[in-house]
Amino acid sequence: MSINILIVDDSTTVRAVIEKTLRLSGVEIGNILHASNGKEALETLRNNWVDLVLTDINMPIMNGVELINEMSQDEILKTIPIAIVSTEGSQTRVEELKSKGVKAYLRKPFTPESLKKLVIDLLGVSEDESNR
Amino acid sequence: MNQTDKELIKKVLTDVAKEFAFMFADDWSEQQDVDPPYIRAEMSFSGPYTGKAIMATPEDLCKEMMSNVLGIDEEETDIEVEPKDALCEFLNIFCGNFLTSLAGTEPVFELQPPSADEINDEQWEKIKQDANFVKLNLDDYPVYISVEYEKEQKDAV
Repeated sequence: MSINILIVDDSTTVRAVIEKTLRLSGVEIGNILHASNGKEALETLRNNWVDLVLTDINMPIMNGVELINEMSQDEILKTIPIAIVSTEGSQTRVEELKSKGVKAYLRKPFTPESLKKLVIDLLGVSEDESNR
Repeated sequence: MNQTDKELIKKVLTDVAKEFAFMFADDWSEQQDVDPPYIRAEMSFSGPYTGKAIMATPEDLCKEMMSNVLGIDEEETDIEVEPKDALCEFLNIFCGNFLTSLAGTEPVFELQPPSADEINDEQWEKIKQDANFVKLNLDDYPVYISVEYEKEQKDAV
């Protein structure tokens, strides 16, 4: 089964790096959707099937914290796993976001291996399966 | 900016350049010539420390950084990534890591998204002469960085 992933980051560079890493990860990826802020992400989530959200925190218009708050209050969207991929270094904030349903946190700069591991762990596929 | 801050900037930038862009940093020699255009990126932050971080570099370095980060040459991809965007993200990552190094992992900072613009020769020269900028060499290109900040004033009880 292929999975659909939404990447939310205002940096096109980061979105491109994450997409490339995911495509090369061996995980069976379906659609990779992009949003440059939380508002765009919510619109995308309401119109597409998404299995995993990878979001930055520091973004214009609607930041990642606001996006997570909105998703946590929506009966459907709150079931979608969220992982933070951000330069955020505050453990206080990370713990706060985990209490709102965030499943994982990856700090920038990240390695392709750490992103791959995060996705495999969150989606519950084994590394062997991901390499098939 | 004091010497401790300058050393911290140098260390954080060196680490981030290596991990984000696969580039190695050392001291910049002003004898080396570089060509315009030049790009200046800036972002502000607030929290236990409030201030801004500024980074300036030739556009050629932004392009090289973009190629390194994406692992492909500019001509080889249809992904629309602007060189300015790569510098903004580099500054964003630098700033987040600098603040953690400065204040630890407990405090919460609000970081504003970075922005970048081309600057003219006069603005570039002004940055070059500014003693508040740390000057480093990344793959034979100069990078000028400054972080200005003030510690949060607690209200007296």
